[in-house]
Amino acid sequence: MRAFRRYLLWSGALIALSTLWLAGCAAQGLMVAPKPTPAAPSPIAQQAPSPTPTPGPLSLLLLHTNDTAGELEPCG
Amino acid sequence: MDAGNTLSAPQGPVKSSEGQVIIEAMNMLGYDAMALGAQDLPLGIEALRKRMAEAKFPILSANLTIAEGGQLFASPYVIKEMAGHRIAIIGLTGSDQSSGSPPSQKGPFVVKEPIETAKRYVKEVSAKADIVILLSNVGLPLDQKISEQIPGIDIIIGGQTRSLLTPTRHTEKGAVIAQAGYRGEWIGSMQVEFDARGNVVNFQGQTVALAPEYSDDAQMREFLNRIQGKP
Repeated sequence: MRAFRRYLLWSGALIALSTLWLAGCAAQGLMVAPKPTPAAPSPIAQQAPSPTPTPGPLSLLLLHTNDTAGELEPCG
Repeated sequence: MDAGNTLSAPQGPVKSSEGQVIIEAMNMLGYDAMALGAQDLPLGIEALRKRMAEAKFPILSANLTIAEGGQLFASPYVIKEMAGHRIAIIGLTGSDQSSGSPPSQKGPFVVKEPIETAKRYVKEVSAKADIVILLSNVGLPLDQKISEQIPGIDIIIGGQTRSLLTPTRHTEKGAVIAQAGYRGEWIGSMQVEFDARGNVVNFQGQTVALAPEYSDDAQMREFLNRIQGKP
């Protein structure tokens, strides 16, 4: 029983000391979380942009008018 | 597309609205581009600017400048993307002048000589587009000269001479030229095949007479009735 009480005392003392030490470190700025380092550039981003895909053949339907002035006038 | 001489008329709603009803109809029909024609110029700077603002498509001219100041009145060209191809459409305004003659003044406008202007802009757009269309109001003889003298134009859609011309190559390597009559009595239809590099490999087409066998579009008929004051 006495041994158990001694164990509790020593454990409590150790925890208290550790807490004090951590608080001291934090106060001195030693425990500042490290800044996140920028992520390394993706190897894909470093590659040259892929060339625009070559277009294929094109079929175009063109409808066209000209000189239409007057076509909307009433007849007669 | 429309090759110009479209916005002014001697009487009726086109005249009284200074071409506004024509732009409204062209917006309904889904035009992609129009060239300013010599006969559009009597509307003047202010009315034409209003029409250009109302149009849902670009109204182009590479050789029309304002006499006072000398700046271009409209965009010289537009570039459209289609299936990976870049298509340049250049507008040219007509005048009574022949090739090589000095610029001609028309009211507040100056129409510059078309062949040198076309050369300059074809060179400029060739760096940006793989297909070049000239929307030309200079008339068939000059269109043929342009086709002979300026390489790099794939298609010339013409106007002003009121020619009924199915798609034709004037010279072996020249542009395909077409024109569709006048007064909206015909519509030109051209089917063109381009290879992957934007070269014309095949073409065919016709001028379609808009005869009575084509029934009226209901929306357009309603629009026409409205502007003509019919019930």
